[in-house]
Amino acid sequence: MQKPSSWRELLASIISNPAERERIAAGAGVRPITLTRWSNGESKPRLQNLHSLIKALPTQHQDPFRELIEGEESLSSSVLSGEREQLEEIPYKFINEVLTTRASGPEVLLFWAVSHLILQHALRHLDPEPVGMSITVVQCMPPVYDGKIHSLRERTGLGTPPWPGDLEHQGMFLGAESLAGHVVSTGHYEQIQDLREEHMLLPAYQVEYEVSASAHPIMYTGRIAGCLLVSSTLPNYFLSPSRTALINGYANLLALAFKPEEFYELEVVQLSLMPPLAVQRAQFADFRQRVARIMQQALAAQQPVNSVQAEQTAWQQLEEELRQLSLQTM
Amino acid sequence: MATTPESSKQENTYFIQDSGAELARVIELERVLTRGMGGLLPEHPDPSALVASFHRVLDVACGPGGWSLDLVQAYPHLQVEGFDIDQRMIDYANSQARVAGLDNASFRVMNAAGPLDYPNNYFDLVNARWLAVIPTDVYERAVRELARITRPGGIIRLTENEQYSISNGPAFERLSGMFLQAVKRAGNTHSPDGRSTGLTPLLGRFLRNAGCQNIQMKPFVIDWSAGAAEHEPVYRVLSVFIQLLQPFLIKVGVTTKEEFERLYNEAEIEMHSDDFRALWYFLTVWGTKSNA
Repeated sequence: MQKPSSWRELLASIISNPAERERIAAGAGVRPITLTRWSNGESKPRLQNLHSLIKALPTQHQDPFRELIEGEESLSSSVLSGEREQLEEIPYKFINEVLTTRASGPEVLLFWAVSHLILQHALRHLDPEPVGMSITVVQCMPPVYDGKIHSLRERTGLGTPPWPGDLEHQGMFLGAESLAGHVVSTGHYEQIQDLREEHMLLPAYQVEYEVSASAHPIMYTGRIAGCLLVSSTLPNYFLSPSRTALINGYANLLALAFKPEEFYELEVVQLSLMPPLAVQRAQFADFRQRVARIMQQALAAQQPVNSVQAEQTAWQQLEEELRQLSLQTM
Repeated sequence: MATTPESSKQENTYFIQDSGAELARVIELERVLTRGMGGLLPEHPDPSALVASFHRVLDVACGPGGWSLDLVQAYPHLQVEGFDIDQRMIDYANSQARVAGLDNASFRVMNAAGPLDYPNNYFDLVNARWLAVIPTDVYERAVRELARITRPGGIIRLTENEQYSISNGPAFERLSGMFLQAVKRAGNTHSPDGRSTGLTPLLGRFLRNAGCQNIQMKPFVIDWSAGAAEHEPVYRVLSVFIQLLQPFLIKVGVTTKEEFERLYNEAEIEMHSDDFRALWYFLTVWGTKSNA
């Protein structure tokens, strides 16, 4: 085979195998069609894309690829400069901003403010293309009657297309049947690289658009508050160790959104099975009205509660109703 | 033109100061409004064709940079600069650009009310959403400054709203009225009686006086009534906004802590009720800088 004269030519030859094209695209965090466009000159990769692309290439092609880039003046200086670590680190200034927000914001807005800062940042960081990602904070439902945690709830989330931008109102309860449930029960992160394949080792069900998933525990002094659940439209999106390390970092940061009393010993996590999404959606239909009723009743009793407290009560009512439903159908 | 010490040190007249939650609120607000208005340049039928020949774009009072970053992600050939008076917003915007590898977006601290550190005739497109927070008496001058740095044939677009929604919730409306009265007492309104911001009718004239022609306008409305798709995200953003307003409303004397807390609780109940209806209106006005 003739030696390629440009990095585009080399890339074209590597991705002529469709399976390899899909694998490299996932590793680089771009769509397969983007690789084709780069290879035929229709578009030009950004600096960060090139770093990720080189790492995703088969080892034997990485050095030749770099050499070819060095020969292309418009790309070489940026690729070879010292900015290689940008994708793999959470910038200190951002971490400091999270700490400042936590230090100075009103308590009632602690979770909302800190989690939104982090999720928005994480979404741009983990899905810069964007190729399609959802990122959700899953929280333990506080024990009510037996000191045990029986379910988790998707409390807030953001997405890039095809997911909607705001996932908060789509949140559902998760139990032992879910990847998040498994992670919260064990306190260790887990990933599924392709939900379309058989994966009997881990509990999981595929939601719309989701092809791969990574769930990371949110912990404090060995206790758990929930997990960060990241889903991608691409297979093998979480094979990259640097991406996994980043998600772990964001999960650790998210611990700052919770109050100490919202973390639980792993022993009290005893998750039930929760009903499917369609069943849950029907129960959620009057959620806002429930909250209004709880606030009205509290006001009438001259013991007003704020919306966060009222929502928590409404979620606990729903959790119990869903558990009963689930038990009836077993 | 260099940034003068005066321009960078001018007082931040924004009525929510130094709250840890404000940055998160503005991040969410940007997302909600860009989506709710129908995109980044929703007034243009074919934004891709519009920006195809553009190179430099400025985002004025850019906050945490959401509009700018979405723009360079959608149109990678553009070089977008943004500025805001708030250092924390700028730090967040730069951090977002860095981790997303968007090296064609950059942000810095500058005051929209002061002289701007950009050359004459520099930008192809200048975007300013919610400049209403700058002092009333300098708004028109600020638009002239935007015209100075826009190239002949370039576009300036201004987006403002009159009220934080019109609703059927009595407590929500009371709080909304208090806010407008507080802004008037603080001397930062264009309205003669404080029943609105009074700004939207003036935008076209400001652009004309700054040397723009072919001035056009397009209204937008976000329906966030109970059951509407945008109810939940807009409710969150406005609920947080009202909470963060409390110190300002009390400081200028339009309410007391006790009254505010009672009204806020009632407004929360209204916003959760099945029959809650609310619309949020915006106006985008844009013009082309004349060649003369």
